[in-house]
Amino acid sequence: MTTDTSDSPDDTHLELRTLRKEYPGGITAVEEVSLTLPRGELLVLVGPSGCGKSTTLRCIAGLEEPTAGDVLIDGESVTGRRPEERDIAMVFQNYALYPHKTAHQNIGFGLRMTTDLPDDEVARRVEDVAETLGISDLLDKKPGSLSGGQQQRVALGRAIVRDPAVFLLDEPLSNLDATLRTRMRTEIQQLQRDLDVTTVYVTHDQVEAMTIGDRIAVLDDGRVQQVGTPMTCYHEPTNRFVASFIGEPSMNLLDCEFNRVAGAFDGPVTYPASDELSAAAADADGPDVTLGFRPEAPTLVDPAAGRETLEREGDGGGEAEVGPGLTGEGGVPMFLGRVDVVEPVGEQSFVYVTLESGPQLTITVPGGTTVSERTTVGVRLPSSGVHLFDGITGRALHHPEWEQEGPLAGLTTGGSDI
Amino acid sequence: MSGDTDRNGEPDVTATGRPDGGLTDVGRVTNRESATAGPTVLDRVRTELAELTVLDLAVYALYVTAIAFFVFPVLWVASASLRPAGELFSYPFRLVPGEVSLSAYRQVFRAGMVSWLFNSTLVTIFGVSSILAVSVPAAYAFSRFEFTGRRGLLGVVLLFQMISPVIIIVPLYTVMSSLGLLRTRAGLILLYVGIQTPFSIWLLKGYFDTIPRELDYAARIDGCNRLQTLRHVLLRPVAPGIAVVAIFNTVLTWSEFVLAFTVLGSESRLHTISIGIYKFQGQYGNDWRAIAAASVIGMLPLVVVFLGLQRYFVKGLVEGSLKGQ
Repeated sequence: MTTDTSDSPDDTHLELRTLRKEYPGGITAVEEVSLTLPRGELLVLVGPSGCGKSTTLRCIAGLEEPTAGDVLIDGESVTGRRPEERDIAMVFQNYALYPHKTAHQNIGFGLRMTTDLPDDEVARRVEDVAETLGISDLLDKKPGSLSGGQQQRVALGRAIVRDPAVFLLDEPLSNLDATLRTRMRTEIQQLQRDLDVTTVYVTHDQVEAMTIGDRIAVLDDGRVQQVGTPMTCYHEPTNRFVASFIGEPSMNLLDCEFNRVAGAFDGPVTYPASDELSAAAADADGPDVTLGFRPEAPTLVDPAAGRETLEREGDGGGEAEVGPGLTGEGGVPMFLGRVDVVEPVGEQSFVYVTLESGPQLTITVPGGTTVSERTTVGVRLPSSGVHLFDGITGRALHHPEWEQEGPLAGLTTGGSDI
Repeated sequence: MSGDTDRNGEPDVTATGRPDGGLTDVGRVTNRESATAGPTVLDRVRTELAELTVLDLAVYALYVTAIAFFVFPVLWVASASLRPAGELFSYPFRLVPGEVSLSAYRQVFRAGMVSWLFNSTLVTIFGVSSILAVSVPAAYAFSRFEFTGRRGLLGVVLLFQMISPVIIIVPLYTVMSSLGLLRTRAGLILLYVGIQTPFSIWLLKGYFDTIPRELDYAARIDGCNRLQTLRHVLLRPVAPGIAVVAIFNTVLTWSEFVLAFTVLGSESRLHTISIGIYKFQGQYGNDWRAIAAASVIGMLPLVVVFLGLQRYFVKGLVEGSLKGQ
């Protein structure tokens, strides 16, 4: 109902203003969260456990009163209003279906409690929703006799039957097995698009966040670390936390010291600083910086030959040319290391390499590459794949370019569909 | 011993296995249901007997001893109540009376059993429902609300549970007296509520704690206030706990003697069943037949209540009880 009245697709629908939530006993779950959602957007709140994402969601729902700050829906403050007066619906991680009520009663309960609709109208709406979700034949069953996926659908039904202005989903998929999770993820996404309802989706799973969100908001320590499209957060993480949190496997991070005289980063490895990196490192608060690179940035080479001998199957030659394109043949810095473990996942393999100088790196290679465990390899890391972060504050100083023309974009975005 | 039974059990199964198999085959052609059911059950009993270990036998022996220990007094009382006068202390002791007589029951009913039953029923119904009326919302609050002093208050509630009512019976009597509640059913019921509520709150809080909080959240989003949440959403999941509390309190209030005797005193019109039984104990001798008969009658309602509520323990109320709604 509310969605029908939208005049322009871009107007702000849900807004959080410097939301803060403290619990008695001095625990601050949410330090400060400000977010703005245009109508119909699906925003994912993602972060490790205890980052305040669920508390934020409960503040929007009205299940928790924020200590400070404001929640606005349609430009109107709803802080202090009871949940049912906020025109929201929520789906919980464990579904929270009423165990003694049938699916029909579960879905219809909210309508019965909050509206004066006659019973047959409630029943009609419940049946409509059940049809949308494909659970018409399950309406007489109790949650106990439904499978996880079916319970999930009933929970979704209970939320959408009330035609809410804002949809809140709290880790809705984490109780499902892997196959079902992928399917329900797509279904939820489709449902959200069809209903065009503003949605806040909470998850701790960054893969889920990347795939489902129009935008994602990365939370840590009760603060928003970054808000942006999944690709922005992946390629231009604003700080070290976002860099390590987004992406699977996560970004390799090496704490180094920038040696201005030598023009190199000293740490577990010594990495020659390109002009770009030197300039960026100068912005740091001190000499301490963190080098970061995605697992797909380095290439594995034969240590003896110093050239790329590890064959890639079914892949164009484009990737192999990347290094030379930037720093010239042999000019790309290379480190020696030993392969600990190879984890094949199909189209790719994750290779864990311990460098001679100490640190362990995760490197993604195409699935066809033949790499044996316990062999020595060369890890060639072009400076075009290196992020730079302030060693003290974690603030991002430099990102490699992405989404640009040529083979470079092909490489950097190539691994982002993980 | 047990080794022998094991060895004997195995050949039995194989020896009878063949004729049984033959029977089932024939049975399938003629009458499927009756013929197949019999042998398979028998087979299962045999294999299970064969699988018994020494430990199993020891455990079962323990069960039998324990059951005998608890059942024997009940049987003795039932047996004593059915004897004619004079047969009670006959020697040698016989559990089955030689001659059955209902004279003890007649005597007990003449002495006022109907009135005692009525009083006990009244006190129990009002007592138990009042206890539930207080402890269910209290347990809900303790489980779900965050308020200052919550932990301390819970501790105090537990502390009260530690105090035996018999120890504070004199001050209780004084309080009851000054409130004008002596020799009234209301006074007795109030005492029961006060004494039994702490334990009931603790027990019920445990049940509430097992129910996920998300259920409360879902209810609130569906438009329930706190009380509606309790009534529409949490009461059913917590019902097995309520059944447990109801049974415990029913047994207690039905059979409680000391407080009842103290509060009701000489007001014989209000006497409950436990006081009634006591009346057959005299200074110069106890009328054991009458005591036994009164005890049997006193036991029956409890057995009925327990059997009625036990169903909910076994099945789990959450699943089973909703067919009618």
